[in-house]
Amino acid sequence: MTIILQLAAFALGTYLSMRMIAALHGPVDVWNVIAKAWPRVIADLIVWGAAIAVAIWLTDGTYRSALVWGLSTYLLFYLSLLPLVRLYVARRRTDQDIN
Amino acid sequence: MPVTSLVVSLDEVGAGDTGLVGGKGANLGELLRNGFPVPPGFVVCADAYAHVLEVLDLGAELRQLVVAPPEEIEQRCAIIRGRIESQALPTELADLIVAAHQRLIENRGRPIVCAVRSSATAEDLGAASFAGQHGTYYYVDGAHLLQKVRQCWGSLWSPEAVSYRATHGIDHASVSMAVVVQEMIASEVSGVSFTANPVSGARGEVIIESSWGMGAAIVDGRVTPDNYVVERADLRVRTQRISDKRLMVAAHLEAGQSARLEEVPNAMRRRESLTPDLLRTVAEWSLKCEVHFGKPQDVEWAICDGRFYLLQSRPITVMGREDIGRDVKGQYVLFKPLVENFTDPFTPLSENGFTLVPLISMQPIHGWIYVNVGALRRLLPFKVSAEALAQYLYSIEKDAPGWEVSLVKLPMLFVAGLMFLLVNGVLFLRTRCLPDGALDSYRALCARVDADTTIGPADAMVRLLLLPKLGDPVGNMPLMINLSAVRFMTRMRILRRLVRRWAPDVRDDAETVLSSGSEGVLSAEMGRGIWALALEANRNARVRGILLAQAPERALAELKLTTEAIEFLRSLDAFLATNGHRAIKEWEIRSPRWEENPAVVLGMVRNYLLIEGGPSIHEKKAADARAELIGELRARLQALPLERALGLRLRLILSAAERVRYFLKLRENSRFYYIMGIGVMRKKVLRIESELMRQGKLKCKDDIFFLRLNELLALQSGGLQWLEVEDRIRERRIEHIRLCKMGPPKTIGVELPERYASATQHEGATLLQGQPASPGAYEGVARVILDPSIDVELAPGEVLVAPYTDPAWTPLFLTAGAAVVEVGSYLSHAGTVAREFGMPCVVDVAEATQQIRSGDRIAVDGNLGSVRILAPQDAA
Repeated sequence: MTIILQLAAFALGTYLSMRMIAALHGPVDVWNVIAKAWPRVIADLIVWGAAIAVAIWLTDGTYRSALVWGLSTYLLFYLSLLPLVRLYVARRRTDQDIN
Repeated sequence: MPVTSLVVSLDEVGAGDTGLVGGKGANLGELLRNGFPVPPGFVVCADAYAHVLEVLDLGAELRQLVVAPPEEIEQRCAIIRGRIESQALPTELADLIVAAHQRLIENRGRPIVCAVRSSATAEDLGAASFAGQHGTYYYVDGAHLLQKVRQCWGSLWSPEAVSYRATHGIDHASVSMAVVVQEMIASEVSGVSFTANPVSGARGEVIIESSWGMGAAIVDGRVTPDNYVVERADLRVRTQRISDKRLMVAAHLEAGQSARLEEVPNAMRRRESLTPDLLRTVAEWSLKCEVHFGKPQDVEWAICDGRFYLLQSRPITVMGREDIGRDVKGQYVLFKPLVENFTDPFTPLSENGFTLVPLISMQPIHGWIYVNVGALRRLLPFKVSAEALAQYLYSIEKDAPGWEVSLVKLPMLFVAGLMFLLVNGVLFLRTRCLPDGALDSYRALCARVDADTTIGPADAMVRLLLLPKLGDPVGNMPLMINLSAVRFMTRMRILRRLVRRWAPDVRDDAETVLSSGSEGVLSAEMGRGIWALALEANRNARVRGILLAQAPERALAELKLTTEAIEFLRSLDAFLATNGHRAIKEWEIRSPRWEENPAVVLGMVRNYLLIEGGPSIHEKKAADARAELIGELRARLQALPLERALGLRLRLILSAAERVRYFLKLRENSRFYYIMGIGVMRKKVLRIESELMRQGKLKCKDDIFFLRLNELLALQSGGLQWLEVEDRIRERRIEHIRLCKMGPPKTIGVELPERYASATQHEGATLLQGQPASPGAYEGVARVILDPSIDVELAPGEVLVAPYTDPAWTPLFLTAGAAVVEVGSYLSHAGTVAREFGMPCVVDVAEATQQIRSGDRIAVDGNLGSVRILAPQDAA
């Protein structure tokens, strides 16, 4: 049972991480219409930031660790996507290959 | 004729001399000696080539070529070509050629220039055309004659010709080459004709293509020629399509002019290049060629001083679509969402650019994008045959397929699905509810990338379409957003399930009606913008008169000279500032954007001037249908428990419809932006083209699109020169034209069950079957439109018959009574717009543009997906 709950905490951490990253993208995503979109952007940041804080506060011990692992693992995974995609695209590029 | 001759006069040879003078030489000689109007000339025989090979002692090189691995072919060919082209001809042979050339000049009585043409002994075999693979040189004077003869021989050893022979099982040693030298005809008009349809093989018609100047521009696809289909029986013109002939290869060079390709004067661009008399002459001589040789012929001809000249006649090599993918291993089906927007293959530059995009399970084949059915089948957790999967992918129907789940594959699917969610989850969340205008910063980003001269076309493509740069706004990801917006399909299925569960008897297209009518769809705004231009034009009788009386290019030129048109032109500029990046076939980098050629927009404005009402009529019609449907749903749902009190079911349905509308809008709007990115890439390519032309590294506008990105870079850096790319460009152009004419095969390596017979007779009418895309029935006069930039006129109420459609076609839907499209699906642009406008539409009608002729009366049934071409008595 503990393992299942730990897995659930890890999955919750991953989900919250995803939502928080999306919320952090918000200002850049709607920069062009920020004048009318800022309330929603701020609300997203507050809601998902608060959700993470509450989740961490409500859990303890191994569950908190699993939650934080979920949060940080996804963050690292997400950050590693960009260089990976760059590598992938660079490998597909043939325009530098004169022969 | 002595068999050991090295150089012979053209009138000395005949059909039986292929081994000595090659296929072309033998055919021309045969025609000349039988009274056909062939320009005089002589042939440097294949024996001369054999003699030169003997002198050069190329045996070792040829043996090495035969056993060379594919990656070494190019290098081996270069060695052989280099030796042939650099070595001076034996004196005796050179003297014979010069003497024959001198006789040609003496007979003419004045200095002439010649055409030097390869004539391989295996050329024009029944099964192999060798089209465009061997060298041909025009306007050759005495000083360059020997060099060009050597280059013709060298062209026998180009990597492409060698590969072609290998593919067709032709032994290299069995092929030899003669060279035909003929007086150059300074053609005013030239073209090609086919005494049978080269694609379908139909024998009842002669196809004639003609354009101004020399025919080389037609053969290698630099101009779109006028196209005439003439009845074989009585030489009556069945159909004619006068194209916009922007370029021509001039027959004479003015002093100081070096580039042969020049702009056609405005007054001639849309004028028929053949008068009825000349058309008849061309058809008659073509048919005489067929009678003489006893089989359908592909004839090249020219007109000079009103006189017809025959330049070549060879048997037609009919190549079916099924041959296109013969050299490809695996199972593929055409990627429908792309081909629905244009059926031509990508040019090499565009194809090369798009291969940067990581499209899983997709593969470019001969310029078209295909889905790898085999790979996809392995990924999907269903027990489904390759044929059924290909059928589903090609049809893109609104209903989900009822495939059985494969339990063995479920764990793999779970892992794949999880990875997909982890990779795309953030993107999906970011695009859940983007406000209108959020992507507008992309325009500024495009301008920045465009202005930065350190960014090349490939880098621009990567920056604007693929990889976000930290600090760039979301606008650099419209392509990703577009891909993520396919979520509308699942939302559409949810909506359909809800509607069918609670109101099963409601109209069949209820979910599409509910999900139409979004505000802020940019392509719809574009249509409204054109309508606003039409209103502006209507306010001034002079402007309206010019637009209605003149062809768009001339109208534009005239408007610029008219003071009363200032306001209109200002509005046009404002429209182009927003929408100028759009184009017909806008995915293709080669396609000119509207800002480059505003005449296309004027053609649409002109179309709007012909109708009464305007887009609002269609919009109101669609809005009324939606309101009526919601009313009907409300009434039906109220019979269900608690619905009258809470209205939950209706709210759920409307909320699902709102989600579909949002994602459809996101998909359409993101396309509006990423096309801007393709426009930037085009601008960069055009800048490079102009620089390369200035440096003499490219000789002809538009050639650049037939190079690959690495070749472009090599040309810029000096790693490649014009002479090294000239043949590649010509071959690729010819191949491109051939593929454009044939169209893409639906599948490669997998049989797609033919759902519909191509055309059947039913109650005295020809019945074409397709896929229903928008309900309703309509009967009217057909108008076949192949290119909306050329055939801009569609009279109100006519039925639009098109090979494909994209947003640039949208204005035509406003005047059309119904639409019939060759390629498409329920979700294609044609279907979506037709449903929006409430007009019947049938898509996926095979060969509709060939079976239906402009002026035919047809009945379109958008419920059954059928089109009937009515017999005259029915029509009456």
